[in-house]
Order: sequence, then structure tokens, then C-alpha cells
Amino acid sequence: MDGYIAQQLVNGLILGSMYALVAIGFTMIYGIIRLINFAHGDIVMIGAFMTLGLVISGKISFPVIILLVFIAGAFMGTLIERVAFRPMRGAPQVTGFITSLAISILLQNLGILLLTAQPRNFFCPDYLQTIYRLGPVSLRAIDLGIVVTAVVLMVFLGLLVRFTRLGMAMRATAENLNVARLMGININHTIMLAFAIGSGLAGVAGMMWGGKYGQIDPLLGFVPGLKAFVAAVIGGVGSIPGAMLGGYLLGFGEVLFVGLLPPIYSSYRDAFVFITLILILLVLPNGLLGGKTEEKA
Amino acid sequence: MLEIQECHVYIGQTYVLKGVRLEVRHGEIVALIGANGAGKTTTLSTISGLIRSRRGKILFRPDPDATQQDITKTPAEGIVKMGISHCPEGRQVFSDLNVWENLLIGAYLRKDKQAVQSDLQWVCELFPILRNRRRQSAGSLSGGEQMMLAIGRALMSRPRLLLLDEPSLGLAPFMVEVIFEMLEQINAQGTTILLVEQNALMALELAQRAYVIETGGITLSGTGKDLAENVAVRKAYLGAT
Repeated sequence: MDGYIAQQLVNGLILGSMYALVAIGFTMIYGIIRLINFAHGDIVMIGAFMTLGLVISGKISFPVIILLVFIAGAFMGTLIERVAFRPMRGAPQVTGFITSLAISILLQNLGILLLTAQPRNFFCPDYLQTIYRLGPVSLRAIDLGIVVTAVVLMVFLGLLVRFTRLGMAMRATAENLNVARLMGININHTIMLAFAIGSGLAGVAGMMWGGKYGQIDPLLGFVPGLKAFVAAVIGGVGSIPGAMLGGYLLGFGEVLFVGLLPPIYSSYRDAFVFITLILILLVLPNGLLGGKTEEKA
Repeated sequence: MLEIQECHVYIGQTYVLKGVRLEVRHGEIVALIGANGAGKTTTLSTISGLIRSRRGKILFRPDPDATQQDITKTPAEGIVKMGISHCPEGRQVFSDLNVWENLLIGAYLRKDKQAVQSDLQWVCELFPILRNRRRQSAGSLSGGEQMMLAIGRALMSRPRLLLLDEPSLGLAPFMVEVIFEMLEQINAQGTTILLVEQNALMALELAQRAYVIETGGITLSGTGKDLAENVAVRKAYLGAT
């Protein structure tokens, strides 16, 4: 039984790593321009297909693929920001929200048009399929890769935001757009950077998603997008550490819910996710690490 | 140094500035006084590029011997670079950043790292409390300390012209005295100041020249002393009967 729980915890860690990566971008974008970006999950999908394409096309090593997928995600994110969201800047929050829904639908349908709705098998090189046994816990190399990559990326992001001049500008812009401009910060650049980093991480999460589930299709972005939204809200939307915490909590919660309760309840796992969200918001309306109540439109 | 020519500014649909004319000369402290909603803050935001003037011109000459530049259409980032720093109403320090980071972000556009360090020292000499609090988040400071930080942050870009929006707002009277003394000192060290105030008495005392703004237009101007003695001004802003 102990081994079983340990195994479930490891599974939660893997799932949580992916949720956290997607949630970070979600929360960064919200934090800086108060936009609820429902197209964020579709970047995950693009990342997954991009990875598949790269794996099929040749012998590119996985670290290089991670880099390329990050860049592709970042490019898509900035493109969407430039084309769709920047013209909406200053409009009511709802306008941006609906724009993001439109972009999401557009990306999904473009995916179906170009790639067909047929799910495709996701290739992983054999060495990533190797199964390791650590005592009672077994995991594939790719699972290990997911957790390690996610943690490395998060540490890197934390250092960037905390200790660099750009990170300082991002924090300042997130707190007060106009005063940031008075400091001479070009907020268009800062906003674009937030989209680039957030979407890059989502792209990498897509790569992990494919590796973990083995099948990808153009609509796969919906679930990670929704879960990232929940994770970000649980952690306190706008807070990067909050998104990480929310992502892992959600990952653990989901896996343990399915793993510890009788199997007939396992199809209620999404219901569980939303009940948790409601309970947390009842007690902490700003999420676990969300600070202020002020609403900047 | 700064010349505002007939600026007409709208915020959304509201016609806020109706042909404001104003001039600031090198080395001066100029006060802009007026009631709530008269357009004081809008005037500053128009200068600093946060709001665009629909008609009219703003001209700026950083130094007496420099060429005059038209900054009417320059965005906020460019205005800072030219040497105008705007210390916004209500302090608005970045509360998630610590005191040191707030000061450093004031120097965001500067590449002269050593001069930035020496300016940090200079600001800390002006406001020694900031050095003691440098690792604290700006949100944890008292109102007076936040005001000092906001002024210090604005000075970190090494402005030729400092725009100050209501530095006395919400501060204890003794703190207001401290801040105003500092402004005098900053001015004496070579920074020209355009000061917006509701505390007209103190502003007129400090300023060499002053303007009165009413519902979007300048109605009176003169030396600080003249305006302080003006009957209409005394009635409207200085509580005289």
C-alpha cells in the first residue's frame, strides 16, 4: 500500500509539473494585462505537434527539440499578442476574453484543417521509454525528463523574474502599467516578453503532454488550458509561485483522488477539481498566494 | 525650458484641458494650483506622454543652450529619456518591489552604471531612511516614506525637469514640511520643478512662479508671492474670508 501511494505521488508530481508549466504562462499574461487567455491551452497543442514533427523529421536530440519547441511557442504567443490582443488593449476585460476564445477556436480549427482531427501516435525514442525502478516506484525516463525539465525551467524563470533588470521591469509592469511607462519601460516589449515566456513554457508542456499520453490531436489544448486556469486561480491568479503551487496541488489532488477512492469515482476527477477550486475560493477568494483584491481593468 | 501652447486634452469623451498655456523656465520651481478636477494631474500626464494632446504643442529644451524639441507626440518612454521625470499622484511606488529595486527602476533607461550608483548614494543622502529600509518591500513603508521613495525614484532618471503631483497628499503636516524642504534642496542642486498642489499655501510659499487652473484653463499666473496675496486666490484656495 505504501508503495502504491508513493507511486501515486510520483504520478502527481509528473502531472503537476505539466499543469504548473502551463499555469505559469496563464498567470503571467493575466498578471501583466489582466487578460484571461483561453488560447493559452492551444499553444500546448502546437508544442505537441511541433515536437512530433521534429521527431519524425530527423535525428534532432531532445534538448535541442526542447529549445526549438520553446522558441516556436514563444513565437506563436508573441504573434497572437501582436495581432489579436494589442489592438484590444484598453478595451474592457470582456473584449480580451472573447478575443482569446476566438483565437482558441481558430487555432483548433486550423489544426483540424491542416492536420486532420485524427489522433496521432506520439513517437518517443526508445531511450525515453526505459523504465526505471526505484524501490516500489517505477517510472519511465520520459517522466523523469518531464519533472526535471519543468523544475529547471521554473528555477530559471524564478531567477529571471527575481534578479534581472528585465524581470524587474516585468514585475513593475504587472503592478502598474502607467507608472512603469513613467520609468521609461517600454510596456509593449514587456508584455510581449511575458507572452513569449509563458507561451514558450506552454509549448514545452505540449511536448511533455504528448510524451506522457502517447497520442495527440488538434483539440488536446482544451484540457491543459482549463486545468491551467484552475491551477492559476487556486494559486492566486497573477502570482507565478502561486501558479506553480496550484499546478502541483492540482496534479497531486487529481491523481490521489483517482488513486485512493474506489474506481467507480474515477470519472468524477474533473468534478473533484472544480469542487476543490470552489472550496479554496470560498475560504481564500484571492487564491493561496494572491495578495490584493484590487481589480485593474 | 518647457512651454505648453494651447493644449486641448480629452480623457475618453470628457474635454478636460481647454487650451492650457504654461511655461517653466530653467531652475525654477513652478506651482500649478487648483481645485479637484480642474485638470492639474491631466496637465502633468500630458507633459509626460501618458495622455496625448488633441491640439496644441509642448516644447522642451533640456538645457538653456540645447535646441528646443517638440515633445507633443513623444511617448512616455521617450519623455523620460529626454530628461522629464513624473512623480505620480498618490505616490504609486511598486509595492511588490523592494526599496532598492524601486530606486533602480527609476534609472531603468540609464546605461551609466557608475553614475547610477553615485545617484543612489545621493538619493540616500537626501532621504537616509531609504537606505535603512532598502531590503523592505515598498508596500510596507509608511506614507511619508513612500513619498520619499517616489521622489527618489523619480530623481534616479536624473531629470532636468521634475513633475511632482501632490506630494503633500495624505501626509502628516510635519512630513509635508520635510518633503517641501527636500524639494527646495533638490531645486537648489539644479533640478527644475513643476509642482501640482492642492495645498496652495505651501506651494505658493515654495514656488517662484505659479499658475491657477480652473476647469481646464489657466485663469491666473504670477509670482508665488503675488498669487498668495491675490484676493481671489486667498478666497478660493487659502481659506480666507
